[in-house]
Amino acid sequence: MQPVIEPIEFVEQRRAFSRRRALKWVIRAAYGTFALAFALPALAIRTLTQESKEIAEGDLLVAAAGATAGQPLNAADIPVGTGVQVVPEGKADDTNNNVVIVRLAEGTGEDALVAYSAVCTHLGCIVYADLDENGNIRCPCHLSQFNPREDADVVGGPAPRALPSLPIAVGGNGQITVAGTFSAPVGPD
Amino acid sequence: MTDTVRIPSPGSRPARPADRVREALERLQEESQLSTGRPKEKTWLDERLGVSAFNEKYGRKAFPVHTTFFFGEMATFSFIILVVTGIYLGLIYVPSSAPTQFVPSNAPAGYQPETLPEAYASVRLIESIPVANLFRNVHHWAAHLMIISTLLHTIRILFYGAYRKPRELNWVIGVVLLALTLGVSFVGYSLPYDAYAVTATSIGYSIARSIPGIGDFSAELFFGGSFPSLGSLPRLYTLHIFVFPAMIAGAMAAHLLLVIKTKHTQPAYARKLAEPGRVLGVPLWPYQALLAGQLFLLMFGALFLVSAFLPIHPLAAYGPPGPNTPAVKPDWYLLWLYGLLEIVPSFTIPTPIGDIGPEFVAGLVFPGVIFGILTMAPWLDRTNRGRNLKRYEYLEPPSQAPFRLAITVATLAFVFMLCVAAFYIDFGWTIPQTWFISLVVPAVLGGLVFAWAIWKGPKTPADRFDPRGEYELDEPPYPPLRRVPSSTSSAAD
Repeated sequence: MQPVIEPIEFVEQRRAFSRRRALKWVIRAAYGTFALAFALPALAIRTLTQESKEIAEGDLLVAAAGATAGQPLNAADIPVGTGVQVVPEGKADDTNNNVVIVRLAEGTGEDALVAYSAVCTHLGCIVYADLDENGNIRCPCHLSQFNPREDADVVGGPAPRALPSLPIAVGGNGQITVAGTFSAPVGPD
Repeated sequence: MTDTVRIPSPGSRPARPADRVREALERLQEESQLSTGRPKEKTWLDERLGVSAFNEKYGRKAFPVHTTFFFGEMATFSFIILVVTGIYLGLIYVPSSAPTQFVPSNAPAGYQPETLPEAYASVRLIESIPVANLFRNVHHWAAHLMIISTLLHTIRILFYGAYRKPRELNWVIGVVLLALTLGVSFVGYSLPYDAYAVTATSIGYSIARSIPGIGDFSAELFFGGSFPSLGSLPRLYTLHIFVFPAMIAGAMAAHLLLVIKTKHTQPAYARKLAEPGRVLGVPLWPYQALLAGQLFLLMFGALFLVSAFLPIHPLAAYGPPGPNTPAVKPDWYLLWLYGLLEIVPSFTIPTPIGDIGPEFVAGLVFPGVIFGILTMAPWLDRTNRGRNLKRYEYLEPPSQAPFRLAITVATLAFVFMLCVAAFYIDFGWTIPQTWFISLVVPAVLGGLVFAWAIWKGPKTPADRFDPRGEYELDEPPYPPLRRVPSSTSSAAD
């Protein structure tokens, strides 16, 4: 024997704003508010800030990698046509502080030694300090190429803009110090 | 109506492979307790929970026998293996990038401790415990297996047009599962915190930041501030071990329930063997369960065997994160995005909410378009439109739909060519040459497959195999509610 389910008829007039409909909307709004209240803490937890030391004028630049990491380098030791990766002394924790110094010619003038941010403007990888076969700075991640003789302009690959340049000064003992700030924001936009 | 195994009486046909299948199914039916309808003694559990009713409903789900129908099971079993091995790894792993003084347990006296990130040191510890190292390798290999079986599962359904009515919703859930699987794998990249992990995750962080408008917010939310920072690993860890797996488990459950509801698409031979309106296959309990169990044990054994002899991504390969970026390429399943990131030209489009650059287009817009097209496939397919659309209950031979076949092959070939493009510098190609090859190869392949389908496919409409089913949705097993006629016409629903 099949049980017969007797329907209960609710007369619901769609167009009129009935009490039932109003209640339904109140319940929906309550659930929506609840969901929103749960999502809002995302605004607060999005960052856990960490104290980072920004590069500043007068910082001594030291080798970033290799056997001499952490030691000051002598500008005269960089052969023409090669680059080295350096960081400001004591500020190596922030990858944005990595700098590439390239020697274009003999001497200590502005045209001889150039310094650029080592953070690729594409997706933030650290570019190779060693120049490639065309004399360009190359990023190992997606093969963006920057010409160190032309303000590190993009000459190949997907990077959207040039590497920011950094003014440097060479002291009497050959030590290199920071002499200004980056010409543009470091890293990807 | 539940799925049943119904066998038509054998006619006077000559013996064919299909006949052997029929005979085997007849034997199965005779042996199966479920289909004999014999009243069974009630068990202890049955008296309390009525489990035999549950078995009657779900245990008799018919699974078609077909060589390509095991990819879904493989993905599910890989997921189970990943969860189990992941639990073991989670017992040792420390999700922190803070520096720690690490001394190996077997270090000689006077060993100079190394300063390493805690996460890296804990993975070193995992590597030093033989069974934990084995589980780490199994975890990594099983991830590859899960992705490849999910991918093959998707491609099989695309080729046979099995995403059409009534399975559109399940197709969408499947595409979501594919995306979640890729997502959880990428998040897992960061956890060993070696030079490779930091490089790959930095790229992901920069891609997230490149979204105009909400980029900074979403990147900071998912990576706990900037990456790498102290906040990153706890967040990526929680995503990897809880949020993504929970979403995958939920989507998988829905996927399986919908398969039970809509039934499997039938292989073409089922039409010759089963009565109209009946589905053909082996019942879930016990035969499909036995087959699947065998598959699980095979996979389990093979994964442990491979992992014992082929270590994958040992920490020593890249070392701890340093001031230099190693030249890394992602695993094969993300290589297409990597290839595109390499060959997309440099440009900037200013918008009021921020600049649009190549990394946004290649890293998010392009995969978004691919996954969008995949999701919308049931609604883009012209054969799946119309008011009185019948249900597609049989696998359609791919040669019968040349256009669908060609589009699928060309898209897959393009994605494959992007993986090849990731190595363009090694081939000595220029970027324009790479673009030319990446576009021409899929076009030619698509054309060839199209021509093959026209040549191989049915010549006249009479030759076509009709993949549509004879039956419509089952009648509900209970009488419908009687409705009192309403006074207002607008209240009828």
